Amino acid sequence: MRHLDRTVAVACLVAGVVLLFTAAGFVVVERDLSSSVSYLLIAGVALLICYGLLAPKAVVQVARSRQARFGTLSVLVSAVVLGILAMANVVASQSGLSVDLTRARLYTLSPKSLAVVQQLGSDVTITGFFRPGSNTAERRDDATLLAEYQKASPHIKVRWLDPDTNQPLANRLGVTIDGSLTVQYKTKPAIVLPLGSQTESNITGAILKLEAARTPLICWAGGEGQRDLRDSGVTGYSQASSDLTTDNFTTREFVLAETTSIAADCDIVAVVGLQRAMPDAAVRAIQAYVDGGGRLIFAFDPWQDRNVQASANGLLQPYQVRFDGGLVIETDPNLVANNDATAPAVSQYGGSPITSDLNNRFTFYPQPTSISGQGATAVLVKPLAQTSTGAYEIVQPRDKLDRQGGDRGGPFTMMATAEKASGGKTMRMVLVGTSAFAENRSLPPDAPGYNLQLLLGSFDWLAGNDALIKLPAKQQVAEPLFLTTFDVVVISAVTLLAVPLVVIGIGVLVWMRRRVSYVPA
Amino acid sequence: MVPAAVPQPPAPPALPERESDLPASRGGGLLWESGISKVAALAWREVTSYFVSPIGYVIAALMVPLVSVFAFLPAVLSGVPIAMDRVYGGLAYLLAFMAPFFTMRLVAEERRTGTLELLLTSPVRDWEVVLGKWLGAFLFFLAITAFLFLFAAVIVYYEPTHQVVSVGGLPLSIGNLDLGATLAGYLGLLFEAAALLAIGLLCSSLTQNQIVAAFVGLVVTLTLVFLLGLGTFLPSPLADISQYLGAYDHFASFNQGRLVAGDLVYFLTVTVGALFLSVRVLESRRWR
Repeated sequence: MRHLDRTVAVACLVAGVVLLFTAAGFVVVERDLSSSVSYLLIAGVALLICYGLLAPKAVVQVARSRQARFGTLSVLVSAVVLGILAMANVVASQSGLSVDLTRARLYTLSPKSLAVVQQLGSDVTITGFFRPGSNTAERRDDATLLAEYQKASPHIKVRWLDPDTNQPLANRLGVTIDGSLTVQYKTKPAIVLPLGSQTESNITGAILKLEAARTPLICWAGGEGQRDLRDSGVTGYSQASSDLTTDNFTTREFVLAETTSIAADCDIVAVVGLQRAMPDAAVRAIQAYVDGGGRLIFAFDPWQDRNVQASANGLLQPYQVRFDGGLVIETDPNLVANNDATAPAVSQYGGSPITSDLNNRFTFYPQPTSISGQGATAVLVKPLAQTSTGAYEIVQPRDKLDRQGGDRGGPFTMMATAEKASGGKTMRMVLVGTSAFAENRSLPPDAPGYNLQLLLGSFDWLAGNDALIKLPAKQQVAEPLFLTTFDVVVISAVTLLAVPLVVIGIGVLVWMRRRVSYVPA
Repeated sequence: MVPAAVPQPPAPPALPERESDLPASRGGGLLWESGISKVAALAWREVTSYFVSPIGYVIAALMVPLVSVFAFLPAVLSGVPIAMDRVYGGLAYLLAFMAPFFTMRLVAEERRTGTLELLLTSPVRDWEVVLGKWLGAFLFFLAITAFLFLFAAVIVYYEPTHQVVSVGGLPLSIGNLDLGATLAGYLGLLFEAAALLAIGLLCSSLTQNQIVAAFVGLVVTLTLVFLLGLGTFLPSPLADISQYLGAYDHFASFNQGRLVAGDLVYFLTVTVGALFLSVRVLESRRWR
């Protein structure tokens, strides 16, 4: 019984000292004695008192017995060292220091986010409503990410609250589920980001939305076979729609066949994947809109009907650029996606804010046509993405894609911008030689590459957010392995049988050698 | 008559009073006095003993199929994106089971056979003994993680996207492997191994029975890796504390490709704390 008392007393001593050091760590970090820290202090002192009560003779024996003196000293030193280690943990865990080693810099703020938070004029308060002990992995990830925001700007204020003990505030901000983040700016209604929507892209998007005077509206031509923002199939644009919404754009559809003028609230007009010839009225309406300082993104595909192509080029005729209409084939195997010569890839770009951060990063252009034309007077045309000189263009549709006599030689422009300033207004156009560049299977998570950045960069440039066009969303570089049944059998055999047998074989060899070399005395 | 001077035999050499006076230590100089040479010698002895004992080969032979079955093959067969983080994640859990078996005999066996007394009365300090034995176990773990290259090679070989880097002028395909994240995950694994092996060593120093050492070590490492992560069910302050103490959460940030100061300090302090307590346990034999 005495032995048990002594053991419990020693445990109390160690735990008491560790708690005191932990509390000291919190006081050092927080520069304040909060109620929870004071509980730690009280518990530490209480445990030390318990030690005195459980082992009253220990203190006296320290002075008399050598064994007790050494023992007590040893326990005390151990407790102090453990306390210092606990304190180091408290300090380090609050520091938020981290190094991001991922290739895509998944845990580092992109230049776009940095630009957004560095131009803040007022405080943005981000509140994490997490119950203690719940969703801790997500909370840790959020804390690490938000620490990066705090490092970038003193205007970012972060706090963590328990939704149960702060229910009135949670209700006022619109928090209904545990694990939500709210973003508040000035007197605007807070934006709630639930679990699963707390990435850098989401947080920066929320700040942008709150900070922007208004949200740019994209008027999307649809309903006549163009790319559909609601289509979640592989050729749909639902992913692009979702990414544009996160990037602070709103979209509204309009039908070209019924268009006689472009609505005044349209910030950008998008014609992506034209399938029918546009009525003259629609062509004139878009031209009038663009000439008045409007913004247009126009993506066109090869081998279209002659009338459709004439309609598309009729729209662009005043600016002296055109879609050539043939199918571009890339011959350089290093500049194609998935070994598909009809999907040229580009990693070097023309000078434009859209592509300023894309150099050495691949974007790809499935089944493109080429864009030609130097631009009319005062219209500045800049090629952004070009094929290699070995590429060729098949003008008329045919089954065999090998190079033939009548094919045009490269290089070809697959994406270009056109800009013209007049009367204090600047018209801007983005021309893309394929509407597949931002379909669902061309964007993350279905595809690697930087087509998403290209898409968002294009819309940001069109919206006039030149300073904000950087790298927004990030993507993991991991890919699924494409294995045949034979491959799976080989991998299983090697990892489940061959390697263990080799290791066991080596072990047996060593055992036999030692047995042979052992000579009994 | 004064006796003729008798030739005196030469005086015997003085017994060494200090550890540094020992013949063996003279060659080492500063290095020997710092204890590094002795730690290295002890570590080497432990590593070689692993490689001549069946337990080392059994553990090494078990690791590959276990990681393959529980972490690698399910991901490969389900067709999800795969990188080394899955392999590291599987091994990090497996380590909680393996570490106590790596370390169970380190001190307990010496204590049972009585060689611990010899070791402690030889000119080595307690911390050198503890550090040498821990380092030996750690180096053995390091050696058997060589099999991880097998999984990395499979990923690199079968990934659809390939990037080519130049190594000494020679083109080398490294697949699409994120080298930074791969390195960070491996570092996390080493830090976790360091901490769990130190805990195993502490358990081994508490008893002379290897089975007891393994069992106690298993309870502690499993608690640290598995149970403390389940603090969700505990009341408020205890939940946060238990979450923080869970080792897997700290390893997870490494496995994501981040080196977070808090996680680094966590593993270092657990390692240092366990080794420090092991030294105190050995030292306690002098005054108990």
